[in-house]
Amino acid sequence: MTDIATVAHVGRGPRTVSLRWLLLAPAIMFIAIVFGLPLMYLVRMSFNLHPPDGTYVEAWTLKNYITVLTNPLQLATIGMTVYISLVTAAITVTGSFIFAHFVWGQKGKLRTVLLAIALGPMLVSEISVIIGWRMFFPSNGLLSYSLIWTGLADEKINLLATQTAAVVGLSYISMPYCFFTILSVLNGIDRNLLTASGDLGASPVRTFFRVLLPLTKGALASAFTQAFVFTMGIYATTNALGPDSLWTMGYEIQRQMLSRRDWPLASAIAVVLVVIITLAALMAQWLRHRKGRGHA
Amino acid sequence: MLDQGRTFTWLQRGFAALVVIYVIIPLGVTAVVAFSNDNIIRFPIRGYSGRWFGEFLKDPQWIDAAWNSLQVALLTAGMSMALAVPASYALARARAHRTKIQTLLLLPLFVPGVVLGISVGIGLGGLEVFGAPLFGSRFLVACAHTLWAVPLAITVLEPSFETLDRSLVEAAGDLGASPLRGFFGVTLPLTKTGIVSAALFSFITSMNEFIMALFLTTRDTQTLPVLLWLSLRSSSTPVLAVASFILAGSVFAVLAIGYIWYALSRRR
Repeated sequence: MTDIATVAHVGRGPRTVSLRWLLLAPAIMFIAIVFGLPLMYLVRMSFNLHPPDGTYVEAWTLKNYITVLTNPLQLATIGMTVYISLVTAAITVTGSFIFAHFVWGQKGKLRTVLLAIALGPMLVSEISVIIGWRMFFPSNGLLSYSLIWTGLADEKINLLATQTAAVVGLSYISMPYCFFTILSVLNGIDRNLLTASGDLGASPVRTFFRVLLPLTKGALASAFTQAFVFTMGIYATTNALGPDSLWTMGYEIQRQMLSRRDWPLASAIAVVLVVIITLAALMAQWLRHRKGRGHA
Repeated sequence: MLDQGRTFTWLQRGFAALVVIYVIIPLGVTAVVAFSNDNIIRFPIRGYSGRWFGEFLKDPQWIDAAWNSLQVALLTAGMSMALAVPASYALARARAHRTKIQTLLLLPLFVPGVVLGISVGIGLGGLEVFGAPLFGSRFLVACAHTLWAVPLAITVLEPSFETLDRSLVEAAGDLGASPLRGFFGVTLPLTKTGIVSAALFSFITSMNEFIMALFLTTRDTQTLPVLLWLSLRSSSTPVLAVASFILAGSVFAVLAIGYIWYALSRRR
């Protein structure tokens, strides 16, 4: 009968506390075993050595980190990954903001349809996105055909294996996350502020830049971080749509792991990738807090 | 000034239309090419037929991959629910350490698939369970996918347990129901929408994921997206579009079934 009290008054008494931990234990243990331990093992692996005939030998060396952080090819890989992620994040946030601002002003059925369309890319596998764009960009793809058909181009055009194609594909994947982050903040804004600005004689463009943009700055910053962090980890889209020169950290990890079978170096690159992502997230949080204090 | 406002509105409308087209393009192209009659992928489409669907169904490699995907996704959804339902139930009632535990459980969502893939691969791939190697097993892939499914499920489930009217559960207890009975008889039916959506999200996450699966599967256990990725450069026939169409179609079909269930259960 004491069991009843457990359910009825969870949140009081020592028994209920142990029940709560009992319910949380499986999930926490799972994360510890499948996430925590392997991640620790990955860090350990990054200090091992790679023999010519195998995957790794136990060692404590900084050789792999020195390679990742000083080898010009590895540095170029890091630079390329950061560059393409920054470009993608900037374009995705701008596009998502304009689209979210439009959806914000809609009502009823049109709004529902637009929300469903914005949600779409989230439900489609990255591989389907890649395949779709790979049938759009090449010289006998839909883009080239439509341009010739409409008379906008005289010859076949190939945009596959260009940075444009890579950014188009990468944006597609992170757009829904940015869009919903921004829309949720827009939904919290009092529309009367915009009306008031218009009534006081400000042009729509002025209202946009002087009222709306300052109100949504925080949302844009967090959407930017989200898109950046997200894109840093993607390599399939970049590799399948972008040029060969667009060598990302993720692709280098796959190459070292599966083709070169250099597990220690692959692990070291993975650790550096996680560190960059963590730093970006922490920096965004620090900026938010600093701004918050400034206002208070 | 009116003109400036009008231009602004029209620019915005035009841009919104572009975004809509942008979202539709890869899906539309895939759907069109899947029904192409041609030997290679090219535009304009010269004829339509279900020929490449036939080729897909005849090829044991594609069918096995689709079957693997389904098994891994079902396993992921099951494991994710077994872990996330009790955890979210406890979290929704917790006060102490709540944010800390939430952050801990959400953490894997922020780690790229490629990092999770190799760490699970080298960390757990060498182990054996009951004499069978863990590496290459559908179970290990499902475990890796569950790392993303659990945090997603928790974000859906936690609010749904939080808004649950607790006095109803208390009433069940006062009337003599055991905690388990109270959970299955009262809590579960009241939160079933949240639970079904969380299960669907877990299933879809696993169906679509292929980077972790690429590092953790062998030829025998590779999933549909993995096989698609591996044949991306070697195959140029519309069968790629068919496989991609079937993958995306199965996700939308699962969602449609979920939605119909929701609509029917609301009417009752």
